Amino acid sequence: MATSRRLALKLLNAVVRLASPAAQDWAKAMLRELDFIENDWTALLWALGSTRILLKRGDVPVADLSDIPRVAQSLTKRIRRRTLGGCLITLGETVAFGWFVFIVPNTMQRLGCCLTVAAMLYMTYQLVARRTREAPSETDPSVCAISYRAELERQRDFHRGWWFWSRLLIMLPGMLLFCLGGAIAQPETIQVYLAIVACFIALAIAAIPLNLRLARKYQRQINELDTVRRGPQ
Amino acid sequence: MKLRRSPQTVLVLSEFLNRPQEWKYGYDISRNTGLKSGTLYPILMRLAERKLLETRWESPEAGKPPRHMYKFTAGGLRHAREYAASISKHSVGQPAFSGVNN
Repeated sequence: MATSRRLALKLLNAVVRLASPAAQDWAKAMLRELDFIENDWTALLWALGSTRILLKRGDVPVADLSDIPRVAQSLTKRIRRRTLGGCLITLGETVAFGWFVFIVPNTMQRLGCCLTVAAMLYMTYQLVARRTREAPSETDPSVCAISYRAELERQRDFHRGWWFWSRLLIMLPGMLLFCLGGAIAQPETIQVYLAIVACFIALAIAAIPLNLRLARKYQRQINELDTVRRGPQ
Repeated sequence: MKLRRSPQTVLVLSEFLNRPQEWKYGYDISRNTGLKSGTLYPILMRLAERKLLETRWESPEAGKPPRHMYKFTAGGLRHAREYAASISKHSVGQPAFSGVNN
């Protein structure tokens, strides 16, 4: 048996094990279909798609207007988790670099720490400003669709344009100054600081496609929502 | 019941409208509609939740694992036909469910 098919089988068996009782039958149904897919890679893609359903049911296309309250709730929960997790990280970094200000040996590093603290506070502001609004208690799907669309737009903009580029670029000077100052103060640790800078730049570069992809995902959801709202063409 | 549907759901409904009395399999629907499993199954789940689709397991045969099968319920068929008719009204001169792209 090809590795890709073996992987597909393992994946779907795991999905069957982990699926909620309500979804068990569906998970088994997807698993059974694997036997009828001739191509091994198609089988793997089938398994990946099926896994996605259980992991991210909130991301699947809206089927009709009555789905909107459910997907709006799902988005609210996801963004709430992002806000909480993001704020914990940025505030933790703020405290850490705030403390470094008093212990680092030179002015360049102190300046780097101050800039990093400012960048972290700016990121916290962004996370709080773009936190989700409460999902509307409105039961009319047409009304709910309007607020859901507005929320999707807010989240799309968080991952592109000014909101994204400003939070990415504001991080750079502080970290670079911090590492440069550290390398000057302790030349024997230059390789450590070079590794930190390399990791930091790699993460910053990775963040670009990741955020732009998320922005595209939100835009796709907006388009799907618009199609559903327009009705039959 | 709201009759507004996403293009993917329309594809699935049109697939079931083609020989509505026959039981259909997930992978066959996926091949015929071009929808991936991650898109198709949530639609099937929702249609089943709303009693528009009937589901059952194929009777097991020796050496052949049973498959999950799907068919319109009477209500589902009526709903899909009404929807097809509403689309036909909106697109005069075109057959129902035509021009739907994934």
